[in-house]
Amino acid sequence: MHVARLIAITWWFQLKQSTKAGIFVFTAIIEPLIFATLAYYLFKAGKQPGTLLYAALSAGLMGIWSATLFGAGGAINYQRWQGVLEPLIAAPPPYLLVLFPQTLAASTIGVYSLTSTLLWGRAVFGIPLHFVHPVAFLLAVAVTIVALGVLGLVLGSSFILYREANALSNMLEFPVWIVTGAICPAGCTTSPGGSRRRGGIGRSAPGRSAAIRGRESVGHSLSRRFTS
Amino acid sequence: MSGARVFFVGGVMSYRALFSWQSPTFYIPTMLAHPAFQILFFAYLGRFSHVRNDAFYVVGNAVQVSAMAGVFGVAMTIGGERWTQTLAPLLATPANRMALFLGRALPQIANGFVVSAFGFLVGRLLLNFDPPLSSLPRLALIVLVSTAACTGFGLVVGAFGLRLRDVFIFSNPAYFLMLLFCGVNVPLSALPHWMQIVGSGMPLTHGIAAAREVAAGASLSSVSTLVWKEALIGACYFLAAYLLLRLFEAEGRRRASLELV
Repeated sequence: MHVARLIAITWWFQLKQSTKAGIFVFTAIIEPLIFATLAYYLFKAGKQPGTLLYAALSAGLMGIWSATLFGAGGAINYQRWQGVLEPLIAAPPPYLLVLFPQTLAASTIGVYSLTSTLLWGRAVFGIPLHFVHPVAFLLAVAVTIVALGVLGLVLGSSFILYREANALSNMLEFPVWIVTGAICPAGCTTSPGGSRRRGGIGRSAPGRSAAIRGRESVGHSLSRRFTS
Repeated sequence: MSGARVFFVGGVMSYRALFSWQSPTFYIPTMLAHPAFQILFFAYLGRFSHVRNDAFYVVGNAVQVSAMAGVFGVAMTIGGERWTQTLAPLLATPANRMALFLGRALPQIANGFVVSAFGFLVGRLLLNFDPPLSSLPRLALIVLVSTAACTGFGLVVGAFGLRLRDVFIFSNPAYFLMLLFCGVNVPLSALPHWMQIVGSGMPLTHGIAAAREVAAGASLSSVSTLVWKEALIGACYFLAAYLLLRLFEAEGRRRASLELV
């Protein structure tokens, strides 16, 4: 009971704190909207109208990834800068139970991304939101958030070995979008007529399978693109 | 003589003191790896969307990544004065403001050129991008002009560092909006008319267009109009930056807000 309370309160506190930070607002809302717009015009120019909803959805998923990467990757460093790392470690609860809700809050911030890009697509570009399986969609999103929150725990604790954790976060943003197939499906790294250059990393990344399920629940017409 | 010293020596000193991404542990992941992955990401996205070939995305993004130095670097060296609490003493000096601020742009132009060149190298090694060797000097000239124009834009963004507490509130969206408006990844013709107008007034747009033609084998004279437009736009941004810096300096003095962090 105490553990559940600790996780819930820390998660909620971190969520509120992050929502007020300019960098998180940019990462979770502004940046995904820019990418959603870019992807919309790119796919439109490629004459693939069926992928317009996919553009909005993918940009939202990219936002969830970015929020996790920047929020969780720098979690311990932020605590150090704020001068609360020592008290948190010295406190009776295991530090793991303090860090996990924080990384979970970071990935939860990504819900803003998904919501904003879907609403942006609907309001600005008139992209219809037809959820074939709305419950499955919500479930996929929830599973993605939790999976990325747990991955954030790994990121946060790994990055502590590297003083410039935010440099690593900066660097990893595009690679995780590539390997998880956030916007490009499995075959897009293959050069036209060339060899496939991608390994199997993306297949085990938590966001990837959940992202595919999320898209499949939005529309059957999209699901074919992601069955490899 | 004093102005020249402030311009050159002051510019280099501010770069060394305030550009916090210069250590290898920051420079390699942020200024080299991030642009490299950006180029790969958009090239793969381009393959998926079937809009253009790899060369389109390599050239567009390799020129645009110069904004890592041109926008973020410049913003950092101006906004950094506030964080280090040296803004007020700096503006209390009688130093020539033109030399003071423009000098901060010079190292970032060189830095942006290096980042951009690395981007082209990544495109050459990892993607289907193979420009004729004879086009490289022309390409280098266009990248230099584009980087300088982008640095002018970065100074405008950095000027807000005299007005706002966190200059990154402007520099982050500025960098990513360039990806959308400047024809980096989406052909300008595919954008709505109003976005094309905005894009044509932004730095890099004409430089990228010129670089694409040159990489495809065009001569410098055939793209000279685009290059001159890029240079002119850059000059306009430098002028706007100077005026904004003076305005925000006066505002900061009036409001006593130069030391707020």
